[in-house]
Amino acid sequence: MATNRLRRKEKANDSNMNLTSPDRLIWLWVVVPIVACYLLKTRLRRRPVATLLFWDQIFEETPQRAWWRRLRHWVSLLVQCSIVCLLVAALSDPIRINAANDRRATVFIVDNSASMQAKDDLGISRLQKAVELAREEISAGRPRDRMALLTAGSTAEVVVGVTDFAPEINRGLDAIEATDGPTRLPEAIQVARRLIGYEEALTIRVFSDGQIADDEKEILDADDVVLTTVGTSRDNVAITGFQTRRTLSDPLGYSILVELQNFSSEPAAGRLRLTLQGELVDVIPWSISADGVWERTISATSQQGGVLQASIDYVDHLDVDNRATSILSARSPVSVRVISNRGEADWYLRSVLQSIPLLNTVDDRDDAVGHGLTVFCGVVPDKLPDGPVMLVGPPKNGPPIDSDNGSVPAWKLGPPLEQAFVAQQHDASPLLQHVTLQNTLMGSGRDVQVAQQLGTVTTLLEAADGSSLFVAVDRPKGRLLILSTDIVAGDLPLRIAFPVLMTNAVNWFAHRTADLIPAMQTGKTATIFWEGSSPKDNQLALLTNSGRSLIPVSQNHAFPRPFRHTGIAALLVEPGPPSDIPTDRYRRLLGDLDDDQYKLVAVNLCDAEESNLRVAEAEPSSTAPTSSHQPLWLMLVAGGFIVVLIEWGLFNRRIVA
Amino acid sequence: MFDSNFIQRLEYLSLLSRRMFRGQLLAQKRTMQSGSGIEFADHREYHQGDDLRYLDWNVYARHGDLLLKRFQEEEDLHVYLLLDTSPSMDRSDADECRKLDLARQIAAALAYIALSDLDRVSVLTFDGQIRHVHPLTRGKDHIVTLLRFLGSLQCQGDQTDLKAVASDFVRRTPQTGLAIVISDLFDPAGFEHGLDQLRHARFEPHLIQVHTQQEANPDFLGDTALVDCESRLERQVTVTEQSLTDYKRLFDNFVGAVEDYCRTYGISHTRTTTEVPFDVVLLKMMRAAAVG
Repeated sequence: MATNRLRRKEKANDSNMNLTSPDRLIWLWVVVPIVACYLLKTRLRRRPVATLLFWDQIFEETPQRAWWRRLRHWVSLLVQCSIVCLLVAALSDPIRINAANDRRATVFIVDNSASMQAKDDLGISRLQKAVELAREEISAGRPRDRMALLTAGSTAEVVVGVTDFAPEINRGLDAIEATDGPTRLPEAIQVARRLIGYEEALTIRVFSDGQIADDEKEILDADDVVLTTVGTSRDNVAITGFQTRRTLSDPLGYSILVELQNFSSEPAAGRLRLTLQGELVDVIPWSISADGVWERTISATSQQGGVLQASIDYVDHLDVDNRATSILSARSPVSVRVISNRGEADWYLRSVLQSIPLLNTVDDRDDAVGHGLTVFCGVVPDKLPDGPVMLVGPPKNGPPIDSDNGSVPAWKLGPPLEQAFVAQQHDASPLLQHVTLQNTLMGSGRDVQVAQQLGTVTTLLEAADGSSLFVAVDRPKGRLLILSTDIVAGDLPLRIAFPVLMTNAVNWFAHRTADLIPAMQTGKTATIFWEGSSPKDNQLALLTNSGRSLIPVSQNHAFPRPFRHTGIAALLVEPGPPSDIPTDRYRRLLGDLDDDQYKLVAVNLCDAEESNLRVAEAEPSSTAPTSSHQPLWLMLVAGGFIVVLIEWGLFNRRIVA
Repeated sequence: MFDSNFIQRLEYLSLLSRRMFRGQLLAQKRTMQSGSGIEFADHREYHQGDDLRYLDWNVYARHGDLLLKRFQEEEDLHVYLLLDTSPSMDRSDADECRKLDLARQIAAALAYIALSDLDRVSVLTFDGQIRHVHPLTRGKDHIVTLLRFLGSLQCQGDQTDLKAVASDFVRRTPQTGLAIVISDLFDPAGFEHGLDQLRHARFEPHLIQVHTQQEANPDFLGDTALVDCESRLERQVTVTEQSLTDYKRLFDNFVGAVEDYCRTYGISHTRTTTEVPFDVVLLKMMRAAAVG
């Protein structure tokens, strides 16, 4: 109760009046000619008459009060000046400043999502229309209103913070650009509420085509939300899914998943065009029924990698979803030199290596420069060569390497295990991908203990007694794999799995991956697997069509912000060129980088909600009350009208009555 | 003002008056006084001292009665034109002549007709008193002089006072006759007293009332200062529609009172406004006299 009284007192104290357009008070000068005319009029006009006989009789019959005769001119002047003052006051639009009740805040949310790029018959996009409507609303607002401007495309962003300066909002409207991302109206509305807080009367005016999921539309029915729907329903055919990956069975092969959707009530047909690095891969006709979906998985082979682009030759009202891109990893050949002293194992090993595509075996006596992988089968070199090295069934300890305590062997071999069954395998390692050697007998398996000085050791296969049967060493001079078992003496599953194991090993040595390089979606948060060289300060440069930014990297994963535009982005190890360098130039700079120093990322829309350009026939939005009271200018005009009636009465009393 | 055209119109009116009234209007009045007339009227008994020349000897010879023959004598008519020249007669409506101008034209026409009938005509101007007098004249030879007199008249003087004027007129005019008053009759003391004086002095008054249309139907509204052009008194009033209605009512009452008065005492009365030509007024007068 006391709090209420205190609030009422504060309200009474805060009540004040202010003029919205004080410059219009200049119209008060109109009073001057009125007063001048009245002063001239008060000097009565002399009218000679032949006789006063009759006039005297008239005014003796109806005597006029002396005080009224003296004052009536001044009363009339006062009334007419009051009319002018009331009208000028109405013109200057006075408002009550009541801090308790009348503080009003309006947040304008302009949807700049991809669907807002759809154009009407006049070529005006929905975004342009939304900006135009928002500008009209702002101009109709009161200058003291607190306003903010948000966009809801790809991400909810505050374009202009809370301000009562309308031109700032207008400048913000000018700066709004269309994005290729989905609508984020719910997030934007939440941001608007947090921005203003809950202490003021908040009105959130949303200008959108309403392309959001059905389960999110409830938020548009909130009391503080006023939706202004822009645009009309349009037919559209869109690529709603597009991904590419290398096939597991064929290192040269890759698969393309394409999904098209028809968002119209009429069937649609066209052709899908696929290009890889600009070269035509395939052209596939498609035909989709009304509101239908067309899905295909297309297989192709190519050693070459790069940007795979899909486009449909269908003319509709939204272009951004008529094309999609994906990144296909390249396959480069790897040279393998096999050094072996075991005939059967050597034959088996060579056969396995020759069966792996993109793998070239060279003669063990050929010390040619440039081979990628050196495989020692039953042989231990006197010195570990640089580069990728794999040892299969080493007969003895490794060659000595330097350490703080002098020279130590690179690895030590334990005695042959009697029951060298695999008890545990490192499933997370790409070296054991698609391979299960659990409980497999590793013939002549021995424990391998790698010196710590050699590099980071990962045990891939472990026996029941904890012996390491298969280890990977990540050393600075090249990766090293040691398989302590004799592949010929091993169990049948081992020999069956050995080709896959070698394929994984070759990919591992070549830093290849068979993982999908997923195409990103605009407006969605995603992580990008980074397997290139270590970045500086755990930061990578992200180059997009919008410019360059730094994104954090942790545990081989980069965390970019949601993408705003479709196209190809690039992650760079080295800090990228300055942001003012044109996009095509940094594209050229990418060509100078090593493969492990950058990674391309494809970004597509692929959002069925956003590609559906059919606007719901929404009920007319009820305009939120702008004020709990009648506008003061209206009351002033009404007052002026009443005073005009008074003056009319006075005139009648003087003239007509 | 009195150009040749005007004179022609006067001549026309004069001829017209003779045809219409055969001497009933102004001149050719006969008295029953015995005198130098030649037309026998009747007999009366002889009284001692009567002129024996008029004794009817034939009757005496036949019957032995002394009867004196009486003859009807023709007498000249005296026409007095009392012309109001007070400042109120200076008023006029827009694009119309002043009341004084119309009054002068009417006076000139009546004088011309009277002089044509060999009557004696005198013109007197007045406001609060008699200002100018044109003495009795006879014969058309004096019409030019009379017109010149009328043409020289100006509105001046004080408020109209018909009573004082009539008293002065009766006092200074021993010979009775027609007294034609041409005025707007805006006499604060009332027009009746002056006309009563004339009647009581055995003058035969005729009344010609002249006013402007604006005086009958004023059309101004609002705050104004009304100035009496005779008394120079000013009255600040607010003229409303109701005031105008009251004014018209009062003016109609005034006109009605004049008509009632004239009807009561058998006085010829003609009312006209300045927009009516003088000859139309004269014809209207003649027509009214012929009917009466």
